[in-house]
Amino acid sequence: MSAGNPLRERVLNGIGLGLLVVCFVAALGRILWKQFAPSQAGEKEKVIRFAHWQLEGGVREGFDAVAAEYMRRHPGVKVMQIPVPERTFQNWLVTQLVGGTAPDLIEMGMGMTDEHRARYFRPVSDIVNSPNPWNKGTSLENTPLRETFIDGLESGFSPTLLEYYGLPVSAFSLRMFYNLDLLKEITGAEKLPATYRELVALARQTREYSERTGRDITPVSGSRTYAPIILRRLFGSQTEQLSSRIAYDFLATGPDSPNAALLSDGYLDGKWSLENPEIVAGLELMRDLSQYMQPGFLQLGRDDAAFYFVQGHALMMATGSWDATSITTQAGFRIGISHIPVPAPGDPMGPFSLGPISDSGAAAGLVMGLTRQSAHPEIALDFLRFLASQPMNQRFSDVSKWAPSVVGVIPSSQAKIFQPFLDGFLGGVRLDFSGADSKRVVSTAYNRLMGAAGSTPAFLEAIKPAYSAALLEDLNRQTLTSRMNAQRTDTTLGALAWMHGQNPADASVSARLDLLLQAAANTDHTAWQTARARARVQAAQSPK
Amino acid sequence: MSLPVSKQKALYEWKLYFFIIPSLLLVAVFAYWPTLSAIYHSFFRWGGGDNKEFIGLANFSRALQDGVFWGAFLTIAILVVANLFKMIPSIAMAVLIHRLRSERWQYWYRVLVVLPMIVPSLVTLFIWKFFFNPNMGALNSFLDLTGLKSLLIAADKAFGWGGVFLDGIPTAWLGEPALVIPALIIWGFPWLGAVGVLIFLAGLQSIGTEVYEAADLDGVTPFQKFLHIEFPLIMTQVRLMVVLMMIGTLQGYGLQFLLLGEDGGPGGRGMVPGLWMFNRAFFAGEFGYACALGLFLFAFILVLTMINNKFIRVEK
Repeated sequence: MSAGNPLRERVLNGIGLGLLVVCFVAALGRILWKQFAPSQAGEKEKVIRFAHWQLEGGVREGFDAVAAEYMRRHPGVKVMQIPVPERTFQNWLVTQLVGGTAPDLIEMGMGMTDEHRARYFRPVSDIVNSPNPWNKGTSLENTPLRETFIDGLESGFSPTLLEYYGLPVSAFSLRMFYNLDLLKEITGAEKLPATYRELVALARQTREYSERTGRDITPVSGSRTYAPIILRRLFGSQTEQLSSRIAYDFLATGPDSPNAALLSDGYLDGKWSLENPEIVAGLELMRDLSQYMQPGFLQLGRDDAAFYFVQGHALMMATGSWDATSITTQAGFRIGISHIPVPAPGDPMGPFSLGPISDSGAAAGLVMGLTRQSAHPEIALDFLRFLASQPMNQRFSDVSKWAPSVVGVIPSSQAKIFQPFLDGFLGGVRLDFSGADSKRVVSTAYNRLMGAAGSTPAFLEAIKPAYSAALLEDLNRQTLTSRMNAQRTDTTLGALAWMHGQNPADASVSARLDLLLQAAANTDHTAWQTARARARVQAAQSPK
Repeated sequence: MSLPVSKQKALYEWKLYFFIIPSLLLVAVFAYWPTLSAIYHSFFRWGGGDNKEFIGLANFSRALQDGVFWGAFLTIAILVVANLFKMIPSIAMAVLIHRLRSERWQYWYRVLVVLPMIVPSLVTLFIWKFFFNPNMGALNSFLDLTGLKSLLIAADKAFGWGGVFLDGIPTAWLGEPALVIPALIIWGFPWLGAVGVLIFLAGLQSIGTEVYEAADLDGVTPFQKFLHIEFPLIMTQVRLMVVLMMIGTLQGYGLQFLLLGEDGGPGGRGMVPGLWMFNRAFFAGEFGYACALGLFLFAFILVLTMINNKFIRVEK
C-alpha cells in the first residue's frame, strides 16, 4: 500500500502510537484521580459501597435518599449503592467474597452460609446492646439497638454462630395482591374473602366468569417463584403439628431455619414418611389451588407472572411486600392487597390446620451486614447504624413505600397492610427443608403434582426413590460445614481461654468465651446429630 | 528435536518477543491460572473460602458414581446430534449466498446474516423464553393459528406421549419433562448461525471458478455440485464447526439455566454437565467437587476433539 512512501507510513504509525498513548494516559489518569482525588473538604474521599438485590421500584431511591443525607452530614465520605440482579446475586456474592473485592456492606441471605458469615463478615454483637447514636432525640434515644427493631433483631442473629451479623432495614411479609376492578366486575365485592374455602370458591367463580365471557382470565397468576409463596404456606398449614412432633426445637427455629438434622434423622429413621396424612393433605391443598393458576406456570419466572397479572390476565397473585410499588405503578387498574388465608381449624379441606399463619418467622428483612474486607469499617458501621436509625428508616420507608423495620416508624398508607401479622401460627416444615439436594428432587417433580395430568401419588412416586439420598447428601454437607465452623473457632477459643487464664476478672473476655463455647457446643451438637443420622442410614443400607 | 529455524535466525529480531508478553500474561492469568487452580482444588473439599481439606481422589470417585452427572451426558448426546442437523441451514445459506451472481446481493445477504449478531445473546435467550411462554408465547399462538396443535394432539393420542398436548390447554414447553429436550432443540429456529455461515462462505469462496466451469461442461446439476464439489471442499470448515459446536454444547449451560433454572427443569430433563457443575458450585457450595466435575468434562472434550481430528480427515 504505502511501501513506496516510508515517510507517510512513519507518520501514520506515529499518529497511531500517539493516540494509543493518549488513551492509555487518559484512562490511567482517570483511575488515579478517582482513587486519590481530594474531596471538597480537602481530604482523600472515603468511599463506602453497599450491595443488595432489591431492584424493585422505590428501593434504590430510598437508599439514595438516606445515602445523600449521610454524605451531606459527612462531606469527606461518598456512599455508593451497588444493586445486583437477584438472578446473579448468589454467584456475584461468592465471587466478590472469595476474590477479596466485596463492598463494605452486603445484604445478607440468598445462599449465604455460616461459613460465609464467619469468614467474611464482622459480627455486630458488640454494638447491639448500646443505643444507636443516630436515634438521639427520638423515642428510642436510650433503647439498646437490638430492641429498636420490630423483631428484636432476630433477623440479624445467627443461631448457629451465636452472633449478630447485620441490621434490618425493612420488613417483609407475604400477601395476596388482587385486581380490585376485576373482582368488583366478577363478584360485586371490593374485598377478597377472608377464609380459604371462600377463596377457592372465588377462584372457581372467576374461572366460570372467564369461560362465560370468553375473556382470558386466570384466577391466580403463578410462576416458579410466586406459586410456592402461597402453595408452601398451604403445605405448611398442614405440617406444623408433624414438625413439632419430630423436631423438639421446631417452634424455636421455625420453618425458615428448621433443625434439618433432626427432621432428616426423623425421616431416615422412619419417624415420618412421605405417606404421612399431614404430608398428603398438604400436597393435596397445593395441587387443588395450583389448578387455578395459568397452565404451565411452573416454567414461568417471576417477571412473567407479574407481567401476566399487571396485564389484567389474572385476578390474584401472591407475592411479597417488596413487589408492591412495582405492581401498583405498572398496573392499569386498582390494586387490592389482602392476607393469604389457609384452611380454618376443623375445615375438611385442610384437616391438620391450626389456624392462620403468622408473619413472625420473617418479620424484618433486608439485613445489611458489614464485611471484613471493608476499608473503612468504622464509617461503614456508622452508616449502617444511620440507615437503621428511626429518622432514616422513616425516610427510607417514605420514599420506597416499603414497610419499616424500626419501632415507632410510621408506615406509608400502602405499607400498612404489610405490617407483620403476629396473631397466628408458624407453619410447618416444607419437603425441601434440608438443602440444595432435597430442593432439587422436590422442585424437579412439581410437574407431577401440579401439571395437567399430575396427582399427589404421582408426585410421591417421583420423589420417593431419590428423597432419602438427597436428605443424606444434604446432611453430609451440613456435617462438613459444622466441622469447618468448629475448626475455625478453635484458634479463637484457645486464645480467649489463654486470655481468661491470664486475667479471670476481665468480664468482656469471659463473656466472649462463654458465647463462643456455647456456639462451639451447638456446632458439635449439629455435627453429632448429622453424623448419627448418616450412620443410621449407612447401617440400614449395608448388607446384614 | 531441532528448531524449524536456526537459533541465530530465531533471535535475530529478539526484541519482537516482548510484544507477545502482554498476550502471554493475559492468557496465563485468565486461562492457565484458573485451570491450574481448578486442578489443584479438585483434590480438596472446598466451599469456595479459604478453609479446605485435602481429600485425595474422593471428589473424582464420587463423580464416577454421580448419576445426575452421567445422566446429563445423555441429554448432551441428544443435543450434539440435534446440533449436527442444525448446522445444515447455515451450510445451505452459505451455498445460496455463494451462488448469487450479483456481488452486491452477496454483500447484502452477508450483512443480513451478520446483523443479528449485534443483539446480545442474553436478549436472544429472553426472547426465546417468551416464545415458549405457554399463555402468551409465539410458539403456542403459531401452533393454534396453523392448526398444527390439532395434529400434535392426535399424535400424542396415537403414540402415547403422555398427554403433553391437550385440547384447550396451552402447551407447557418448558414445564413438561417430555417437552424439555424438544424445546431445547427447537430453540434458535431457523438455526442460522452467523459465524457458521461466514466460515462456510469463506471455504466456498476458496473454490476455484474452473471447478464450476468443468462441472457445467459435464452437465452437473446444482445439487450434485453441492454434493460432489462444494461439500467435500468445505470439510475443513465443517470439521472446525463440528469441533466448536461439540465443545460449546458440552461446556454450555447458560441456555438451560435461563430457561429451566439451576435444577434443569421438570424431571431434571434439561440438566447438562456444565449446569450440574454450576449447581454444585454455587447452589450446593461444593466448589472442590465442581472442579473435579469440570476436569471430567475437560477430559471428555479433549477425547472427543482428538477422535474428531483423527477420524474426520480432510483429503487435501
